[in-house]
Amino acid sequence: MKRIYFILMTIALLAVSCDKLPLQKSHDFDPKPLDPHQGITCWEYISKTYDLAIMKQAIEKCGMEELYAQQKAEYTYLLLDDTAFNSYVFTQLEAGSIADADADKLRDILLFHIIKGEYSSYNGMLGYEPVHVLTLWNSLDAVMTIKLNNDKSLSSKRQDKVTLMDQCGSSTVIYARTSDLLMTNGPAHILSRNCVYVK
Amino acid sequence: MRRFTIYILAILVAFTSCTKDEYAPGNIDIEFQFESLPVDLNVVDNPFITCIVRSETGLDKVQMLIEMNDGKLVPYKTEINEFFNPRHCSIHERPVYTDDMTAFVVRAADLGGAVKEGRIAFEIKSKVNAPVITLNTEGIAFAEGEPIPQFSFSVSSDADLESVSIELIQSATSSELVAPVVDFTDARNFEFDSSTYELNPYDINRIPQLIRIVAVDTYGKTSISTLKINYRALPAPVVSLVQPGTLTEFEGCVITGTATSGTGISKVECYTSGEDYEFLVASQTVEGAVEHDIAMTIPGDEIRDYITSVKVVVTDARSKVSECVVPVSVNPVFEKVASGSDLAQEIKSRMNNAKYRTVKLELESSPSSALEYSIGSNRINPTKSICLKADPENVKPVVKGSAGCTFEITVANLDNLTFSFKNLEFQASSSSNADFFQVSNNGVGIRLLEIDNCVLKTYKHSLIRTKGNNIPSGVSFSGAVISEIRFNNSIFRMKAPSDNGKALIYLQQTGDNVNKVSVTNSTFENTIYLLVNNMYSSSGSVDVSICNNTFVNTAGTGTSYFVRFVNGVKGTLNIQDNLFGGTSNFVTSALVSNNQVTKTVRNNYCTEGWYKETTKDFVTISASDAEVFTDLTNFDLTLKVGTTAYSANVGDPRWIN
Repeated sequence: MKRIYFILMTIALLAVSCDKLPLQKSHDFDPKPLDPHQGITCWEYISKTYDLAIMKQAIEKCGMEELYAQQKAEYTYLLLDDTAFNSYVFTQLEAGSIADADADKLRDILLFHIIKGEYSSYNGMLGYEPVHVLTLWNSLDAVMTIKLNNDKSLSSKRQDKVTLMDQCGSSTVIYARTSDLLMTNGPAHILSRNCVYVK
Repeated sequence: MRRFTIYILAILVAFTSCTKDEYAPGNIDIEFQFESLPVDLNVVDNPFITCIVRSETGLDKVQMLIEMNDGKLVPYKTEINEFFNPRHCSIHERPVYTDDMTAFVVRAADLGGAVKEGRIAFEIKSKVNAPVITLNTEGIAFAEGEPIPQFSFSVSSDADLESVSIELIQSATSSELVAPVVDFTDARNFEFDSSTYELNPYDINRIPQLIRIVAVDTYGKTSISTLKINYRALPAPVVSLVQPGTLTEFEGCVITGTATSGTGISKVECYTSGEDYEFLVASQTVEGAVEHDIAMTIPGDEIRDYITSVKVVVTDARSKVSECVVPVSVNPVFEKVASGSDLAQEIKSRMNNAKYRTVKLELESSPSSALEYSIGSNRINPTKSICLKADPENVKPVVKGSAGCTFEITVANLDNLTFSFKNLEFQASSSSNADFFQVSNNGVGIRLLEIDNCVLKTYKHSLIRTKGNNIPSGVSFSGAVISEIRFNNSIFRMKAPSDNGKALIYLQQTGDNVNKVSVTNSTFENTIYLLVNNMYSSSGSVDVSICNNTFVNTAGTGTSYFVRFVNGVKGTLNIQDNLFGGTSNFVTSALVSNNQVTKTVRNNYCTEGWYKETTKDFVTISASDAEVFTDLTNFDLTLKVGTTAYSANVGDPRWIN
């Protein structure tokens, strides 16, 4: 009797606990870096990374080091490598170097590349559809979208790369060179071309 | 067992209760990109609203609402209740903005039941009106000659003005911007400080059909105002003149006529005109008469034989001008020169007198004897045209020249000269090397050299000789050096023996060009057979006509031509009805040097002694000179009746009885 009673109770318990649980779906294996955590702040990462040297100069020129080192606010940092500066940012600023660049315009570019909120592949904030985000640049032109790329072709090698400015007016779509670096003060994505909103 | 049952039931109750209360209310963060959004209803690309909604618990639904100016919230689109990440919602919207919207509201509820609203206010800039142009007049009306009325305008605009421009519209397809586009940044409600715009009277000849004022604001809203131009052109004065008839040189006259003008005559001017000049000879101011009787007195000094017309110009009060031209004929007046005087001095004394364009002298003559004139050691060096004549009814007066040339032009840059000799006899001095007329300098233009009813005796070299390369340089004369040479009804008895190689008309240099040569009804004795040498023409064509002349003793040597054209020069050579006699060594193959010349050789006769070869061009008379001429030795060239030459009616008509 006890056994029957125990079995009935177990069945009842299982039935109740299974309520609202869907069947488990199949899941493709999606490889990730073994450990995206960098264990340092974004500013420390910038300071020690060879091809972010120009961005470091830009941050220093604008006195924005604290913004990249802070721990309070949740930001996503879009880091511009030397290629981004040499090929695009300097052209946009009509300058040959950080020293020649207009400080206000340079500051606006850096602020545009700090997103309010943490957007990375690891926190479920990014999907394959673009979402608009807010940046620290207080401008009507500070329009930006972010998503994960869903191009599975082997040739593009862009699957799940962080992608910016998609479906964002006539803007050029930017693919992160390196996605999902998790700093102690927020995720960072490295770009080889800066984001520019075009209506 | 009972306790075990209670445990089981408690666990079941706990599971059951958890399904009803799964989440606790949490913090919802609604963030817009701005506190307020500038919205300009005058543009089409207003900004998007971007809003991020974050929820700790997870979002249940998000509503978008439009707040109207009456405080009501109107749903905008359907609510959002499906989220990729329930803790995050991104909104990016651009509603159709209207004047009555005040804000965009986002209302979010989480799964725990917490609700929060966020709001972004609109800073609506309402639609503005296009600029308003206010003209001080509807149109401009004025008549020709009147000062153009001024006009002014002002422009006001709700938005800032971008530009104001003024255009003169000439036609449907032609316009002219007469005022530059003016940048009126921040010129709201701009009033022109210099609001009067005045058309430049200089532009009277391009008065537009209308004036267009265009004002554009910073939104591109454009206003256009047009100002019609009513321009009345006035008729010009009407002038008529009475034909003055034939005038007499150096005698004043009065030109009469009438002039009428609706606006009144203000000025009358009278001009005498020739082929190459026009000169104001009288002017009169009139006090605005509508009808005016013209009576313009031309002084005698202004009546010259080269005047071909008189022009009267009438100006009215509106500066409209009309003119009337009547052709006039002026009888030339010749000054009489007494016999015995030195003709060279007589001409020379008049060369520097501005009164004369042509020195016109009539030599005294007698019906019974030949009065004489001399050309002393000073040969005549003309700087003006010369016209010498005598009474054709009397015996020709004789002008005896000194050694050398009779007339020699040694001054450069003379143009449009005329030399005319009529009813005179010229005799060269005993010196053998004499020319009748010589041009010794470059740049001389002679319109006409005419010898009519004259006798020229004992000239050795040439009748006309040009020695310079006379293609004019910087001289306005557009024809040849000598446009026309005309010998008519004259007798040329050159000194024997004739001067080989010189020719009667001897254009010594290649550039000494001539356009027309006419030798008619004349007699030539002791000339070399080469009549015209070095024919050249700047126009590329020379017309030579030698008709009804008698040539005797044309005994030259060598192989010279009768008329020699420079190679390459085209033209016509007309040799007709001439008679050749006496001695000669002429050959017809040497009639003309240039095969580009169109020859007309017809009805020319020669005595059998004159011509040495059979020819198809000339008719050889089978008779001696003595059988043809009355007395060749004593220069009586009257043709004997019954001879072939007489019947053929050839030669100088004066030798045919």
